Amino acid sequence: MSKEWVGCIAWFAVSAGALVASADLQVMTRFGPGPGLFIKVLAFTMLGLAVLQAIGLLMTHRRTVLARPTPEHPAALLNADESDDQFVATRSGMIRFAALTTTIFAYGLLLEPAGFLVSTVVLTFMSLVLLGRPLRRSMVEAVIAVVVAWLVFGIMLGVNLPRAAFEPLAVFGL
Amino acid sequence: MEGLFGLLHGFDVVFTWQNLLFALIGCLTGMLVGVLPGVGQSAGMALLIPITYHLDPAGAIIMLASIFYGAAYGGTITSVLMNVPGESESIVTTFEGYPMARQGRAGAALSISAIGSFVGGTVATVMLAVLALPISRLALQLGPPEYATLMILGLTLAAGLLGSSIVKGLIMVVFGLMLSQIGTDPALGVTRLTFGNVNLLDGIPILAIIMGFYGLSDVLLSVFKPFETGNAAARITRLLPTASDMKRSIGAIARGTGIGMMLGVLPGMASAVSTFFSYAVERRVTRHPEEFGKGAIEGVAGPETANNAFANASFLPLMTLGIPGSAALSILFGALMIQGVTPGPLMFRDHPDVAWGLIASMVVGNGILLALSLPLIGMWVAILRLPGNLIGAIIVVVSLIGVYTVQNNPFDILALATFTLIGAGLKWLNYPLAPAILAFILGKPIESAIGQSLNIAQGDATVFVTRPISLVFTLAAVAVIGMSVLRLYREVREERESAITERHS
Repeated sequence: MSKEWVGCIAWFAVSAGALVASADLQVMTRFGPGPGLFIKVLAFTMLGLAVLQAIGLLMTHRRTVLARPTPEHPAALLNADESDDQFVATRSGMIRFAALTTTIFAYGLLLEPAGFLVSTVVLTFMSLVLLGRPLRRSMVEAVIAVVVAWLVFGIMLGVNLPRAAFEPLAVFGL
Repeated sequence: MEGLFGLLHGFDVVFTWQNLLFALIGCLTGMLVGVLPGVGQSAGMALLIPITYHLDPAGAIIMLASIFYGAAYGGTITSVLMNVPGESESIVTTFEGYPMARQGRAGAALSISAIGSFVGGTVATVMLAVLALPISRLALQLGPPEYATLMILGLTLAAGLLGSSIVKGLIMVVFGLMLSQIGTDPALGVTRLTFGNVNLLDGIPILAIIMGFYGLSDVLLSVFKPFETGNAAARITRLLPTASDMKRSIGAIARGTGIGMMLGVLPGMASAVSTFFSYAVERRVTRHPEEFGKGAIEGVAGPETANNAFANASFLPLMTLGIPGSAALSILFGALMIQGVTPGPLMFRDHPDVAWGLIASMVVGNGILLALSLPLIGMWVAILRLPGNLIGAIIVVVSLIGVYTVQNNPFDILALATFTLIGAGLKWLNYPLAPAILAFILGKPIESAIGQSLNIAQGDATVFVTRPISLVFTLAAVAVIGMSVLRLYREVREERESAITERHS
C-alpha cells in the first residue's frame, strides 16, 4: 500500500473517531450553536476531503512528480512541499526511531519520580547515542549538557526543577 | 502622524539595555537557527518560547521577533555559500546567489542581501507603524460574520498557495481546527473530547503542538535520512559590492520592497510567493537577461529585499486583525497568548508597550542584522561544521525541559511526545504542517465568531453571504481554492507533456 493511501485511510479513521467521540454532544441548544456543532461539521468535511483524496488516488494510477524550481521555471517554487525531504526506512532507522520515541515518553513519566538531574542525564545520553554520537563522548556530553541546562533553567531563569520523589535517589538530594 | 508618535514611544521601550540585549540575542539566535542544518525559523522560535516565558512580555516578544527576521537572513548565508536553502523562500536566492559565490562574488551577494533586507525591512516597518492604528480601528468595525470569513480566507490562502496538493492543505486545516475543539466549549463551558483528562480542560497545550510539529519531529525523522556531506562553503574574497553592483541593485531593492510589503499585509500569504514574484519581475525588467541563472545580482537583491519587507509587513494582519500569516507568526501568536497579550485590534490600546516596542524593535533589529551579518560570516561558516546529531540531541533536551518549565506539568511533556509522533507521521506522509498550526491557533476565534454570527442571524447561515464584506471574503476564499486547483492542473499537464516529448525524442 502506498504512503498516499496510508494517509487517506488515516483521515477516514480520524473523522470516524471524531464523530463517535462527539456523539453525545448537542448540535444546537436553545441558546444557539451547541458544543457538538463544529466538531461534527469538521468531521464531515474531513470525510468529504478524504473521499476526494481517495477518488484522486484511484483516478491517477501513477503520481506525476512536479518539476523542481529552477531559474528558468521559478513558479515551481509554489508547488514545493513543506517537507520535501527523502526518508529511507531502514531497519536500524526504525529501531532508533522507536527507541528515541520511547525515551521521550519515558522522560515525561520519570521526570518527577526520578528527579531532573538523573532523568535528564539519561535522556541526553540516550538521545546522543541514538542519533549516532560515540558512546564515551556521549557520556561526557550528557553530563555537561545537564549542568548547562540546570544553570540556565534552574539558576538563571529561576525555574523550580523537580527533585527525585523516588526514595533511594531522594536520599542523595537528586 | 499618530503612528509615528507611537513608534517614538516604541523606541523608548526598546532603548533599555535589557531590551537591546534581547534584540541582539534574538538576532544572533535567529541567524544561528537559519544557518544550522535541520533547524528552521519556526523550530528556533518554538525552542525559545519557554525561555522567553520567564521574561517580561515586551522583552520576550522583542526577542522572538528578532529570531523571526534573523533566521530569514541566516537562510541567505547558506543559500549563497552552499546552495542550501533553509526555507522555501530562500530557494530563489540559490538561483543567482550560489553562481555568484562560485565566481568569487559571495561577499557582494551577501552584502547586497543585507542592504536590501535592511531597506525593505525598515520601509515595511514604517508602513506598519503608519497603518497599524487606522487598520485596528477599521477592524473594530467588523462584525463576527466578517471576522469569521476573513479568518477562513486566511486559512484557505495558507492551504492553497503552496504545496503539491490543495486537498492535503485543506485536510490539514480541518485537522488543526479539530484539535482546537478539544477542551472546554468557549460559549457554554461544556467539556468536549477530553476523555476525562483534567489536563485537557484548557485544550491541548499550544507549545506541545508547535514544538512537536516544528522542533522535535525533524530530529526524530533525521534517523531515516542518509548521511549528507553537503557542499563546501564558497570562499569570500571581496566583501562589498562594486559601484556597478549597487547601480544594478537599486531598482531591484525598490521593487522588492514594494512587492514584499504588498503581499505581506495579506493574511495567510506565504513569504515564498513574494520572493518568487520579485525574481520573476526582475527577470522580466532586466537589461541583462543572459546573466540570469549565472549570477545576476538583481536576482539576489530583489527577492532578499522582498523577503524581509514581507516578514515585517506580515506583522500588520497579526497585530491589527489577530490573524497570523505563517507558521512562524502562529508561533509568535502563541507566545503572545502565553504572555497574556491577545494579538488583534485591541493590542495597541491594552498593551501599547508590547505593540509599539515590537514595531520599534524591528528597526533596531534590522540595524543589528546589517551591522552583524557581514563581520560574523566566518563564525557562521564554522558553525555549519557542527555535527547534526549533536544539534539534534540539544533540540531534544531543550524542547523537553522547556515545555515542562512553562507549567511544571509532566503532562505537557507527554503531549509534546504525542504531537512529535503525529508531526513525524504527517511529514513522512508529505502533509504540510503550517496550515494545521495556523488552523489550531485560529480555531477558537473562528468558532466564537461563527457562533456569534449565527446567534445574531437567529440561526440563519446565509448571514455569511448576505453581508457585502463577508461575501467578498467568502468569494475570495473560493477563488483561492479554484486558482490553486488550476495551478496544479497546469503543472501536472505540463509535466506529463514534457515526459511524453522526452520519450518520443
